[in-house]
Amino acid sequence: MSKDIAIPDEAKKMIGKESTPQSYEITKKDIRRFAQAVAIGKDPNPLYTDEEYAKKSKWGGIIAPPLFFFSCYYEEVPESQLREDGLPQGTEIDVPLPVSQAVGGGSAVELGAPVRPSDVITLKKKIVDVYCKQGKSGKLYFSVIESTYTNQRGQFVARERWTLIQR
Amino acid sequence: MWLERGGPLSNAKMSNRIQITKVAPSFEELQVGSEISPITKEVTKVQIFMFSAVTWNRHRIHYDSDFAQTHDKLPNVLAQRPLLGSFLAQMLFDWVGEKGKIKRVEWSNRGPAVPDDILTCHGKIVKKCVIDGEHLVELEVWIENQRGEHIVPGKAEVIFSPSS
Repeated sequence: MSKDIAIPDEAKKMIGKESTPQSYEITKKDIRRFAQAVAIGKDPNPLYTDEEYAKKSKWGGIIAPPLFFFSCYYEEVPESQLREDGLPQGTEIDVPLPVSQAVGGGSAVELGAPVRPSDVITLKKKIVDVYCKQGKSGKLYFSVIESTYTNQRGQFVARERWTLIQR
Repeated sequence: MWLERGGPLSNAKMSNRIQITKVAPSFEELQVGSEISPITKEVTKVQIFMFSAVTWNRHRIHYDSDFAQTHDKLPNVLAQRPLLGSFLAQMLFDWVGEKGKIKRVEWSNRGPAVPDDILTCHGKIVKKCVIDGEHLVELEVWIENQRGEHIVPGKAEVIFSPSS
């Protein structure tokens, strides 16, 4: 793939743009459901669901699965603000591109403090880069998005950098 | 499904059924080149839907097969990037347990993961070292499907607690 095809100016302007922080209070139910969705037909690790079991662990209580922070990553937009494929548009960090299809590329996650029930997780997103390459079937647009998660004690919880590929 | 299998009421029996396989030995005993215990996931459409629900993901390619096929030319609804990453993280967490913590995990999606796929997560120790007092283990991780295709390559760093 060749590199460095120009991107629209409106898209270029979005590089460096940060979202308004969003905060969510985490419940035991949130953690349990996330754990069940990852576990498939098996029971999740009781560390995520069973207070008595979790109390005896080194964490001293229920914690969330390692990548639970993903459950806080979404855009607060109504259905009317979704494009045909269901992705949100017109958000603070929406990069305007001539595209209609999207797929998640790579992710790099750094982990800090585990998430626990009653934690308030604050998430901030940032557009780190936008670029375009010529693919076999047309132009491919790449948006690199970084999201940082902290808890109510100001501890670092997670940082994710992922690449959204669109055409 | 959860209740049928015992659910929260039968915690006493739970320890026999959890998918915790061989846990990591101590940092000193870890061998570069050795593989950690793999885990297997049989992907279902319901599970992909459940994961979209818990992450409030409204991207149609994860729940609308017709749309996925006609609009995005995909074989079926796709397992989500964070779900595939969560499989890898589960493998690492099951392995390291209370002996340490996952510091980093990276993965990329090279091929589609769709319902009825049988995915196996693998990890191989590529390096171990002590940096600034941290007992660090670097792993190559990957997800392989039932055809042996490495659809998700990646890497990870796990920190072992000094006492382990």
